[in-house]
Amino acid sequence: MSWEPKIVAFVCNWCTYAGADLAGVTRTQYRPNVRLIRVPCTGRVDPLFIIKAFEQGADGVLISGCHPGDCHYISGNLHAKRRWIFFKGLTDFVGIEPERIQYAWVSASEANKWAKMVDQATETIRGLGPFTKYHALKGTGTAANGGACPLLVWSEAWQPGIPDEVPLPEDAPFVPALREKARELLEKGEVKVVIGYGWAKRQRRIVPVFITEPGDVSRLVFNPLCVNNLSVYLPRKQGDIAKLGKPAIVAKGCDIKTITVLLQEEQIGRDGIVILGVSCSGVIYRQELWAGKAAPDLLAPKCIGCDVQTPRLADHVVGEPVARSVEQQGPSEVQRQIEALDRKSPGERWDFWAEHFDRCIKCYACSQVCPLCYCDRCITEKNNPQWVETSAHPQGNFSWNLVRAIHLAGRCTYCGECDRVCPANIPLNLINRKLAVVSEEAFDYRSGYDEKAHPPMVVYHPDDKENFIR
Amino acid sequence: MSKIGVFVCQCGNNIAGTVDTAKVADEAKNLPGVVHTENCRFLCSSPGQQLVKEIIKTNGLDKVVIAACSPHMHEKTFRKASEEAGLNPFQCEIANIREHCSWVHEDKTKVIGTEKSLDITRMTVERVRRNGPLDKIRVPVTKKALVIGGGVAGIQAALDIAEAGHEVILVEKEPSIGGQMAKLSETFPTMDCSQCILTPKMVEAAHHPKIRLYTYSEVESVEGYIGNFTVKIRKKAKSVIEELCTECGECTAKCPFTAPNEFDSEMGKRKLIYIPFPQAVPAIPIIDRDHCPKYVKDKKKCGVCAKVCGPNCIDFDQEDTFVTEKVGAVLVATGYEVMGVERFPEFGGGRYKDVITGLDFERLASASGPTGGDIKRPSDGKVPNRVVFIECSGSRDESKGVAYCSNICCMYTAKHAMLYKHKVHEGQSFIFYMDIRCGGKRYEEFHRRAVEHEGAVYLRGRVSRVYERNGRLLVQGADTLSGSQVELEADLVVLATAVVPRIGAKDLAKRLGISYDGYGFYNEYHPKLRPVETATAGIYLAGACIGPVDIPTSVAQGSAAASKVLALFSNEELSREPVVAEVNTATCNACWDCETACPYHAIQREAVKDRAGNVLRYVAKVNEGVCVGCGVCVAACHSKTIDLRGYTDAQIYAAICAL
Amino acid sequence: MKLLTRQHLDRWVEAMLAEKVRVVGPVTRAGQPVYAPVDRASALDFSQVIGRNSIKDFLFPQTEPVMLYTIKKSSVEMKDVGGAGQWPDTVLLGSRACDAAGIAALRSVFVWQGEDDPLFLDRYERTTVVTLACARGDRSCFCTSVGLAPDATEGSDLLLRETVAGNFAVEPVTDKGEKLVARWASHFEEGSESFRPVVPPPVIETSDVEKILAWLSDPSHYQDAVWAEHAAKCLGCGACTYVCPTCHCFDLTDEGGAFQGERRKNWDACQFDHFAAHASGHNPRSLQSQRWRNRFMCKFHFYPTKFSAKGCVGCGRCIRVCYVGLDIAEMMEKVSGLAEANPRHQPSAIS
Repeated sequence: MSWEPKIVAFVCNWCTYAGADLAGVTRTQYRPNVRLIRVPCTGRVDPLFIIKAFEQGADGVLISGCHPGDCHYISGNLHAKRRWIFFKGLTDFVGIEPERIQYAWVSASEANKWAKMVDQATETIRGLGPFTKYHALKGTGTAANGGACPLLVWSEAWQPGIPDEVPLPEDAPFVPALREKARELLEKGEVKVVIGYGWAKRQRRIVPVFITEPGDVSRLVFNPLCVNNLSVYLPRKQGDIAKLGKPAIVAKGCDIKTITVLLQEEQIGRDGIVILGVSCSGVIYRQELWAGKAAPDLLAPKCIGCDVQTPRLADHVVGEPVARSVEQQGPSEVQRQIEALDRKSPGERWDFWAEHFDRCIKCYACSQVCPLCYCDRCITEKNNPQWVETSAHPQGNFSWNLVRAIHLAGRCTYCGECDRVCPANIPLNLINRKLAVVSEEAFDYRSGYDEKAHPPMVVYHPDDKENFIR
Repeated sequence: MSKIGVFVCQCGNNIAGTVDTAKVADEAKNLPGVVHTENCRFLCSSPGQQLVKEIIKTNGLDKVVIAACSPHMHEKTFRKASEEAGLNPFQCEIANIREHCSWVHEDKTKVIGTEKSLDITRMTVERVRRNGPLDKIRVPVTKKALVIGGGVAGIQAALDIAEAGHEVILVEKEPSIGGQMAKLSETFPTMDCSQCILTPKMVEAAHHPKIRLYTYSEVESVEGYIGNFTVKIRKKAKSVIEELCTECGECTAKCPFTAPNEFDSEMGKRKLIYIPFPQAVPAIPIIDRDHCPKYVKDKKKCGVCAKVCGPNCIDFDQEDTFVTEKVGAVLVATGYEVMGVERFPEFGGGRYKDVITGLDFERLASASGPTGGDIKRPSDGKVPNRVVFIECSGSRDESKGVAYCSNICCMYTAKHAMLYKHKVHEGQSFIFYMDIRCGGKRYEEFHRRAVEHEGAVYLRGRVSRVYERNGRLLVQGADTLSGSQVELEADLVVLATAVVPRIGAKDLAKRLGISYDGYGFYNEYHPKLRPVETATAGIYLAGACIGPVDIPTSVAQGSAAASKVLALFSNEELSREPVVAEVNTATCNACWDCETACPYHAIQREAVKDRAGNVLRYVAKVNEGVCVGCGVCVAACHSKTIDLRGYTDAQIYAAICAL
Repeated sequence: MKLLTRQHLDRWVEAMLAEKVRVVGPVTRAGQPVYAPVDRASALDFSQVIGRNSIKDFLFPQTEPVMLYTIKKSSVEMKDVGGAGQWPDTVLLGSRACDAAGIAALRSVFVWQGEDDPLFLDRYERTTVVTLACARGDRSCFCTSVGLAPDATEGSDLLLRETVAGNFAVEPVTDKGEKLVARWASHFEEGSESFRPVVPPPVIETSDVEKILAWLSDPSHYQDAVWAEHAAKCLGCGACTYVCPTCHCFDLTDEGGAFQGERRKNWDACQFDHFAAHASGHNPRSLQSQRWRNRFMCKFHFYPTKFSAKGCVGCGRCIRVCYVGLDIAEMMEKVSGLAEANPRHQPSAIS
């Protein structure tokens, strides 16, 4: 038998399911390729459903529910619309052909619209052919190679720390003031620990340090190597730190953006931390590459276009306000790459990402280092049902990277830690930044600037604009 | 492993015509967990249901799949049958092979229909394997109602509920109940005096032993869910101790100062300690703190009211107080207001004193109004000889942001023309209109009377502008019937401005957790079939807060909503569908995304305590009384800590994997 | 002594490839050293200090199918995958001494008291480890501190040493090594050349694995403050375990559709927060420092005492990959110091 497209539809109980019922009642004939899965509301549809459907052999997915304003649950479909705007931004960016995932509003009376949509979807997907690209991901890569992933590239520098022959960077001029403030906070008992940057004991590199005694504040430093986003130590998950008591944290403006989201999501209380803001004129991305100065090409991607050199929200700010340096202006390399990818065809984008995700070893370092991946139990650790397969095969890798990206959509503050630590050098910055652009363009929302706001994925506006829902 | 029974219905030829049901039943036998299949002619018939029940019992089935028509058709039927056979009803699932298959794929070879039916059945079997038993949720009902808004709709609703023997809290933000209707002079189409028909109801409500009235009060917050709401009411400071006041009126009489009276559209004056209108209920005065010298100037001055008050009930230092009430139902009847004249600069609104709204005209025509019922124009108090009425001022006008028809203007303008003619016999009225809409009982006759017997001149067309020349207003417009431009001199111009929601309508909706449309009118649960309910269980609507309505409809809606409340109150406890969300407290991160996303405010915060009772952290908890099972929270939860009973992740996952 | 000349090395590799022998060795990918299968001799690059991935990948892959299953009406049909004969003969050419010792450590786990892992064993039996003694180490190497050396033979079948003339002196260590040389005898010749001098990584003077073992053996040290002091910054990414030549924990998982799928054996890591969690919700190692303690104890206590093997081979990969700069050698120094001083340690600062 010739190939027939296999299409899964997630439809809401009240409108589209009833619309499809009406098509039956009126004997409206349409193509038999769609299998319906009924949910109460489109707001119930998780992007995981769509990913799993593709994994299980679907060639296309339809999602349909009540028209905006008709939701039987007040606003479920408007929540859904927000998610779709993000998810579409993501799936388009990784090169899933837009025709593979179709969104529509079909009311209980629109039997004809439903029938027409099924027919059209079937034919456009037939035109695209089987979604072999996704299905074939299974069984290639690591598992099939019977050994290490042959494409393992790992991050740039294999040697940690700065070579002996290279002089170490000087402390920022405000370091004495920083130490003094830390001493004061510890002596007065206002905080029990100061989370900051210091030199490692055996290696020539900057590491996170946790100062609990006023006498140890001299270990605190700040220099262009202090790239880490230390706010990862704030959420409850970091039990060792939480046990020490109320923390003060040395934070750059960019780190405070992350703290802002943690405040939004109530993972920390504003009274529960003291923020020691440091003025920053840029940090380098990989400290191993330090060669004596913070050369522009070594700057962390987040430093390009930085507008928080002087930290906001801090309890104490040390250092003079910093003007934006020339290096930090102009289009960023990440932005340039995103635009280049956007100009490519879906197929080319797919190839780009398939090659990168193929290398993923599912170590989840990206999520462990992410201050906003604070879940006690990550979705990857839930095995009933196991939405994200644990094996490091390309299909599971693809799923994981989609899930990670969508869970951070609208929340990520682009600190770049995931990208920095990825042992397989997957350019995660591109995905994170792309979704930030979606958030800015669709919802005029930039994450990390307003601790009172709600992340855009969990709220909605009745006038949210999109151009892809039929 | 489960013992699943699969029952395939032929539905006569409805399914069997295009689906080989025998084959579906046969192949379903090979599915894991399936122990019995049946191919049946009419499953929904009594013998069909009997068969299902018998087979469940004889085979000891624990789960059932009915491959038949849409669940919207017979899900309830078969769940009930399963229950009667001793199963939990939620162990029964429907595979829709009729509406979604046999009827839409009319392939007489049955190849397509059979294949698709098999897929649908397989997915449903896999899903039902993950079904757990669910029990109906029971919640107690507090038999006391809150009515927000003391207009005619709210009064009617309050009286109906109270008459049935239940307590009612009636909250009105103005000092008196009565609402907009209290401002009207006469009412169409009968020309009864508005006050005459309303005041008795106001008094009845105020004196009813089951109704507690909170005037000059506002609903601050509403928490809880159907049957169990907790309402916080702010009683604004009247500066008068209500319990002591005898409503003698001495204070008002002696107050030396006046301010424009809002009730009379500021066309008249009132004292600074006042009741808004003579028939106000309650007739307890309040002090206007915006103007009273006690508040705006040196505190020592004046105080006349306190001196003359016999029972000593003036309290200048009174503060807002709060009361908390527990109620089982909330009835919202907050009414409407009309668009102000200042929105019509083209008609000179706000610029010319003699351009007024229809509601202002009501006050001019009212015997208790600023002119004692004489039609005198605001600018100089002269009796106008020519009055021009402009209908659809704002209504049906997208440029004013109002696409809808305000429903009542055609009728009240006809009434205004009549009232004018009755009071100013030599006067001439002109009415510009777009269409005349008189759909109600005896409405058309009323309109014809205005045209044929009362001398009103109707001009079909739009007014382009109103301007002043030589001290007279000129109305320039088109008469589309004669095809000519007209320019009319007018002594008074009355705009029938659009009926719009109350200014605070959206705020209140947010506090209540109900939805509203683009204008701010509240959304019915269903515009036709459930017109006085909201999507939030236990909250009901009546009157013009839903959209522009006339008095009879307002009253009818008040009674309708009251009957919904009474139906609710006829139960000691409620039983609800158990399709609600639940939280795995062990893995909740307390990010509160669910709380933010939930359209029903069904997520609460629950403390996790150690053995000593110390609070360790907070986790999300679903209030099963409020949750309606939409699943928005589940999709919002990153760690999949929330799940939706009846539509669990495991069930949907299983269906996807069985594709 | 037997010699393998430079030219013969290439010819030998080509000959093996022609015979369908899988040759795995150090190659350079995107400028980075990795161990990978090669398809030609010229791809091999012996100038690198050490590959980024551990060579265990080729004996104990990250993801490995164990069986296929089909769920039937009332039964489950299972079909083993892997097993004897599935894998090609493999030569790990240019392994480092530390990696080879890691293979010995893995063998001690997977081939244990008759509870043998056939998947590992099949690969192991078909694999010959040809170790190339290191000429130099880098800042992270510390094999000399765990009782190994750049030319240690533990776990190797054949040891190659570079000679001053640029050839390789060949020293069979096991029968398997002897057999390999015998099978490809034409590529080896007799000769005598002096070895190229080897610069071993410096011994961490203040560290002593014996003292560490002794200190760790005292249960009272289980709750010592040093763990939190050292490992508080650990974020639990588990990258250290993924590159470690001796980390061997794995998890079995069933993946597939509703009616058929594959049971897979995947690497797991004690650094993951749910690794030791009970079904009840209780987690005996709820803190990251406790999980890190487990890793350290596994290397320096559990492996030596349970399997009589080296749990840490000093390759230094965990130091290289750690993005918060957690340094196992630093901890070795600390614990050795504690063992020396004995009294309970009172931390002031945590780093």
